[in-house]
Amino acid sequence: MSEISRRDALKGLAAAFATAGAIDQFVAADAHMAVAQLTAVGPYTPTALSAHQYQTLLKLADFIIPVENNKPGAVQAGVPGWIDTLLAVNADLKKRYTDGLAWIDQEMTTRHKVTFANAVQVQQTGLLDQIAFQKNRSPELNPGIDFFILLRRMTVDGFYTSPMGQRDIYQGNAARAEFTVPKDAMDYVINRSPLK
Amino acid sequence: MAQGAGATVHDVVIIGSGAGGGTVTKVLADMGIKVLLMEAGPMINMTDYKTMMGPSDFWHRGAGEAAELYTTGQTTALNYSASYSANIVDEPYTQAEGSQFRLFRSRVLGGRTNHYARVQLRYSDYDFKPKSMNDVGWDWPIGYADMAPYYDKAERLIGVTGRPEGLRSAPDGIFQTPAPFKVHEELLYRSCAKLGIKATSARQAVITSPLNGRPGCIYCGQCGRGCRFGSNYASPYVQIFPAMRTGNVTVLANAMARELITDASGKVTAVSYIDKTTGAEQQVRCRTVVLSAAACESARLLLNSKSSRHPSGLANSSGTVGKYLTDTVGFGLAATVPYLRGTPVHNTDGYGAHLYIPWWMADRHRELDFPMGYHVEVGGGGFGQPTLGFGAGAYNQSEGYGLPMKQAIRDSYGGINISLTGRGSMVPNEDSYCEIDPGVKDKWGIPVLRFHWKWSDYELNQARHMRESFRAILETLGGTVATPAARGGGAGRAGGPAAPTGPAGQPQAGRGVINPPGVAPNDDRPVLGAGGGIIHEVGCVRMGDDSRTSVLNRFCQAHDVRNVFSADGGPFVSHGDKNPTHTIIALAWRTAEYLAEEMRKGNV
Repeated sequence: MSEISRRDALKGLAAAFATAGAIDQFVAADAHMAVAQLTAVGPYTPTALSAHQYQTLLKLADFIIPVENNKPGAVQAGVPGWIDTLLAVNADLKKRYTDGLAWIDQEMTTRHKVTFANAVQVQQTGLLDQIAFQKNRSPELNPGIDFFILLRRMTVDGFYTSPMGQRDIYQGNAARAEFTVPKDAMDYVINRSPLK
Repeated sequence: MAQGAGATVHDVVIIGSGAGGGTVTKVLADMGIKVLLMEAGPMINMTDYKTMMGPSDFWHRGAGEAAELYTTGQTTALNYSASYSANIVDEPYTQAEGSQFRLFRSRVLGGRTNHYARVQLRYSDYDFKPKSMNDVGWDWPIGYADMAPYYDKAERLIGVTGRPEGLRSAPDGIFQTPAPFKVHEELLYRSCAKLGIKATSARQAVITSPLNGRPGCIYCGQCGRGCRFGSNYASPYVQIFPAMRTGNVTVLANAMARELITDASGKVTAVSYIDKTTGAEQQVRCRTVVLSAAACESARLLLNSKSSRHPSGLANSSGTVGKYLTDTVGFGLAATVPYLRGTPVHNTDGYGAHLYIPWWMADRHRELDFPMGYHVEVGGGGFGQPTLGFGAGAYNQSEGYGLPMKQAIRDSYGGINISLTGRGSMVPNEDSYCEIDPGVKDKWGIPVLRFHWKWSDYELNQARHMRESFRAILETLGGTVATPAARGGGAGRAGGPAAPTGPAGQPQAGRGVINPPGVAPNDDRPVLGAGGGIIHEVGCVRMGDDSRTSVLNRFCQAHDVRNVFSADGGPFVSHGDKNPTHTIIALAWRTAEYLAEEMRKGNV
């Protein structure tokens, strides 16, 4: 998302919070959803990366956390845009990305005479299956492996801290009328304990 | 003379807006008494409470304004707190050589009630009478029977969860229906039962059904941020805002009290303060004043109110202002419980802990080498809100990308540790106190506090008992206990407590069978943190029937200056194991009623 839409979204959140002369427990949840929708959709125009670099980042993020059974992945959750906003404020970090993305394109060009973004999937996964694992460390692959560690870390961070990513795994931060513990969860633990 | 003071003489000026000041404000305003409430920090609004916000409500989500997390590794905490600590670097305090003390200030309307853990426990009868019961410390001039009606009133207003148990160490109150135990809490409940220890529902200042216009809890687990919905206790939305609607309350924010001004008769006539927005010194005139700035800051104000008539500070003819400062004994132990792995994912937020363990040896003190008790707060398990670094363990181990990596993260989700945190009673001692540092002033030119601190054998012995009992509880439920912090040779080793091989200490006169432990080389007791670290500091302005040994009478009115009252942790004579907020509120309520009656009679 752009900084403008984020600011607008947060303004909307604040406004929603401020409506309450009376206390309304659902205002915050609704406002929160509004922020989520505003910040997760719409085209993002990169400010730190070039259009081509950003296309490559989109492709890589999609491999790291793809769509799963219609559940959004890293791209749908706006992760590449979030990464770009971070690169825009940290020159060292930006250089690691531009160097890393350039290495990936160079490696793909050497192997298949095509950039990563324009390669076919089997060519793309062929490289990723090597640089996504430390066991493949070698002087030739090390730059790619090191970059992929950083990229994977930030993609996972960005995904699970996004509103969509939170909902992928986390059931909390929600309004409930009653606190209950599912029987299957309680039984699972008690039956494995020495105290059943 | 009161230069700069307006012509208005306020009936009551309350200095500080936390649990004590908030309570006095509400009680007096409801009686139709006009009050001026001074707060050293800014006003707070409901929109300042960041309930139900998450990492994505901060653009960098914790990576830092320059994304430094990913280059230098430096983390940035996301600030969801409503407890402001702005400008505190400009308001230092000092520590005497060899003393470690930490003073947590919160300069904002509501003070630390905005962030506290909402543990809301009544003192037991013996917590008021440590001298009579255990021959240590000093008795309060009042007892449980005096306080019970005010605990009732406090619970009717603010709401406290709990289950009646009939335990001496945990007096029952007027309880909101508690939420059920979480999974790890059920384990603790059963483990304790097996060891003959009664665990019970947590007593939290949280409402589970509507009360006084506030809605019941929605179980989002973010009580510590202050509740945007008003479903837990913090003085702004439970007391001060409703009191303001009576028209009887004026709030003076950003007003840092400097000194109490007295007239020729010795009575306080005005409060001198710094307007933090301009830096200018101002005064407000008053008929009575209530100190609610928190124990140490209230003592500081009295000590800084020197005059020819009060050369050692106001209300200090006894010399005890600043003395008998106590905090809570804190010790924690955690265990890994591998069979929690794989628990079906569910919403575990709730309202913090739903279980606590009251002190279980209240009538067996003679078996112990420390005089007072402790209770246990619990944590662990659970499916928390993902933040930066989420899943790192899993993907670092399995590496790769795509759905297999995502599955590894999913499989690793959920806590498998259970932690126990002891909260124990500290016996006041002569070596733990605060005084004015003669050489240091804060940004406003106000002399600051210097702290002296010493834990005694009572506290260290108690922490050792915590460690061994926690180990038993955690191992009984199948946990593997982490090596606890300890000191001395052989301390904290695996395989149980170190045998006490040192010579027994000399029995101390008047302390019954309570003996100090072995000498230092064999000392297996845990190291305790800095005083004040648990943020339960009380004392310094204590009550008592004897004006030669106490600052306040049994109604928290200064012996020396009859129009000065105290309503915070300052009046505490001794410190039970219970977190102090509930007793601060109940005591402040009692003081406010007394103040109103004295005003009605024309005595002040």
